[in-house]
Amino acid sequence: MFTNVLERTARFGATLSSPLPVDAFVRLVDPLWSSTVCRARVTRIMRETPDAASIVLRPGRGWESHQAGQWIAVGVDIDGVRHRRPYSLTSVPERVDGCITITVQAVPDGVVSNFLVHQLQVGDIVHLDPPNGDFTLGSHSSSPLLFITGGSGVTPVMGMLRTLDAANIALDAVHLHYAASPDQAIFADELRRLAVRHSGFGFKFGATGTGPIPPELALTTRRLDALCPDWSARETWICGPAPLLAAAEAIWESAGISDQLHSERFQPSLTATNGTKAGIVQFLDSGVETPGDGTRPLLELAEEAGLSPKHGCRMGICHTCVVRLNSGSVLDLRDGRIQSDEGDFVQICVSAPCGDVSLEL
Amino acid sequence: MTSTLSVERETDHTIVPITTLRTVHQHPSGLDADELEAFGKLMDDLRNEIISNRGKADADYIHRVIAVQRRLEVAGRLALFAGVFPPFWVAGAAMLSTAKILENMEIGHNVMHGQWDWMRDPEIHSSTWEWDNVCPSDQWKHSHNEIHHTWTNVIGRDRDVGYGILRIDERQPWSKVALGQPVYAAVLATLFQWGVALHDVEIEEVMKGRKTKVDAKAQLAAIAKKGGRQLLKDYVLFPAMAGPFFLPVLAGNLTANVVRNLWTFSIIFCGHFPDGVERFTEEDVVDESRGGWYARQVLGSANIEGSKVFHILSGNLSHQIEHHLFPDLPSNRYGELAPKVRAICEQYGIPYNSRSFSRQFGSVIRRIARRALPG
Ligand SMILES: Cc1cc2nc3c(=O)[nH]c(=O)nc-3n(C[C@H](O)[C@H](O)[C@H](O)COP(=O)(O)OP(=O)(O)OC[C@H]3O[C@@H](n4cnc5c(N)ncnc54)[C@H](O)[C@@H]3O)c2cc1C
Ligand code: FES
Repeated sequence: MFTNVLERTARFGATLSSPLPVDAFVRLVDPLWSSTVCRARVTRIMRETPDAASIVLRPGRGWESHQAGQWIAVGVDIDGVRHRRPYSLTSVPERVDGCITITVQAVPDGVVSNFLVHQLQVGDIVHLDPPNGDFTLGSHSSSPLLFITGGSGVTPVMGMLRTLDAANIALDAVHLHYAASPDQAIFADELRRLAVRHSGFGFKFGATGTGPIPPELALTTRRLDALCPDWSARETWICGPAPLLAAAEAIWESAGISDQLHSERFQPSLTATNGTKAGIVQFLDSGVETPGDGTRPLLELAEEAGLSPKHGCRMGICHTCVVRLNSGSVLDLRDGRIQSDEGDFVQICVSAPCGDVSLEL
Repeated sequence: MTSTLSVERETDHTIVPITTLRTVHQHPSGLDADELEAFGKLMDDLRNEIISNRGKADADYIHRVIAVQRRLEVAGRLALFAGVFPPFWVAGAAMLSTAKILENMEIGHNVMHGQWDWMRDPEIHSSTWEWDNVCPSDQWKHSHNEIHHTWTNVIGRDRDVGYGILRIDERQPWSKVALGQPVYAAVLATLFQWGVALHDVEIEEVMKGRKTKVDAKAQLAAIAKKGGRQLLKDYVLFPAMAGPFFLPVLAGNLTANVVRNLWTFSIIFCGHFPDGVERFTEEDVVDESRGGWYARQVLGSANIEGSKVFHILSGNLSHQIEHHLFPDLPSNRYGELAPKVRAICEQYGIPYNSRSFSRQFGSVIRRIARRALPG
């Protein structure tokens, strides 16, 4: 009965505001009131290191709560153009003040990360997509845990640790954290304090410098044995640069316990180059054509052509970006797989055109 | 050779078959292929310059226009609820008319051209915008963006030449039906949004068997659906919400829709049909180069001079020449392009038609009246 009235009111409102959605007018009062798109207001910005900052956001209507370890796609307008990137949530789910935080490390020449760290202002409005990702603790909250993080890869783990701490769970965890130098290490102080409060939590930090990782710091079975002798008995979460992940995957694999290793990447390793072929990409629904050199993802090509395809992670994990292939072939840049059947669903964020293609986009 | 041909073109098109004279296609601008290429290159440079420096200021502009438009619409409708008091009625109708004009011209028309697609804001995007007009956006994008802008003023191709009911060129065949065209024009102007919507259905193509009845019916159904919603909103729901003051609200909404119709009709006709604007034959556009297409856009459109507010209310279609040259550049930049385009046109001897609203409008009226008669 009540929902019926609500629905009718909504339909009535939609006719009054048509052809625009009701939101178009509601947002004049407060952009956070939208019920169709989720926006958030920046309420605080805290500097973590010279080039990293935590951003506190107050999401508006439509925000769903998250699980520690998940990420959200954040959309910002930079020089008039909308850009979206995924960022892990570092705050405890369902905080009493209703706010969430992300922590961003500016990467050299990074468009969005530099904007967020150096230009964003308190009061600005950003766009959010619902939380996503399965890099979460799941049912393992009270199992013995091991965390391995490098650089900004500490963010989802910080979210998990804060959540465990807030729930007063007695930690049985070891955390190995790498950063270029101590003053670049995001959250190092907070993690050290956490280790003081929780006798079951061990925090170990390694400064790798900016060049190649010094051999004595590289992740090896010997080093793991030294730092965390029972590592193979622990559920492990790892997030960081590709070489760190590759080393861990090899170690866990040879120990035959790959299923205990949970990993998250911030950057896809798009290395497939076999069969690269330039061609013309046709986006059928929008009637736009653009050339592709065969190495860059269709998502980027579409964005440069002025389209704004739906997407989330931009690295082949969330499947928000899938589009139907109409003709031609595309190359999966992660593994060199070719898709060429009409009606195939293509993840455009990690697929490049292979010769001429047309897509239902 | 060039000059003889262009003289021939200006005196009479019907007596000497143009195709027999033009062994090599002569472009209506009178420029040769090299000149057209150079002209086209300069136009491309202007375009690239805007593309390379469009940014936050432009985004701020369209966001501001949209915010003003929506506030005006809300304020106008609220004022009309108090419309039994004449000052409120006048203010309400004026605000709502302005809101509808802004929405159709500076926002809807231009967003649907993709002028703001580069912002990648899904809410201000050509693929999603639905305008406050009975003509459904997807139909408009086809008839206007694809047909009209590609075939600008090509008789027999550009269906916007006279909107299929007005005879505006002496090369269009005359019949007695044309005698009534001053009246048709007045009716078209008053009901312009319906004219535009029905125009897209291409009834004449269906009668000629070049378009299927099924397609036309689907289009009509879409118009009925959208039009029905528009009518419901403006003529039933909002008036009903005013209760006993039903009539003033209805009258205000009707006024706003008619004012918007008259205004859009005037701006569009002044941009396309005053004296000096040329129309073309299909032969004129055979194998047309990019430079040739650019030159034809200049010959086929006319600018209207006016104040800044006038330009905004016309959706910057007062810079019709620049709009036809660069239909997908942000409209707020046409004003700065205009003097540059004009200088280049002067350099190449391409007539650049720019006059006041009253002069352009007067000449359009005279043309509609004159072409009602044979010749
Ligand atoms: C699931 C997920 C969660 C993420 N969570 C976080 C987070 O919590 N905090 C955070 O700071 N970032 C996080 N990222 C990375 C983030 O989404 C962006 O990729 C990063 O901020 C760079 O974006 P940009 O626009 O600044 O760089 P771009 O302009 O896109 O790229 C500029 C250059 O930087 C390189 N680059 C891109 N990403 C990285 C990177 N991560 N490290 C080093 N170089 C890079 C590119 O190869 C390119 O050469 C996450 C990514 C994913 C997929
Ligand atoms: S954007 Fe997530 S899979 Fe493509």
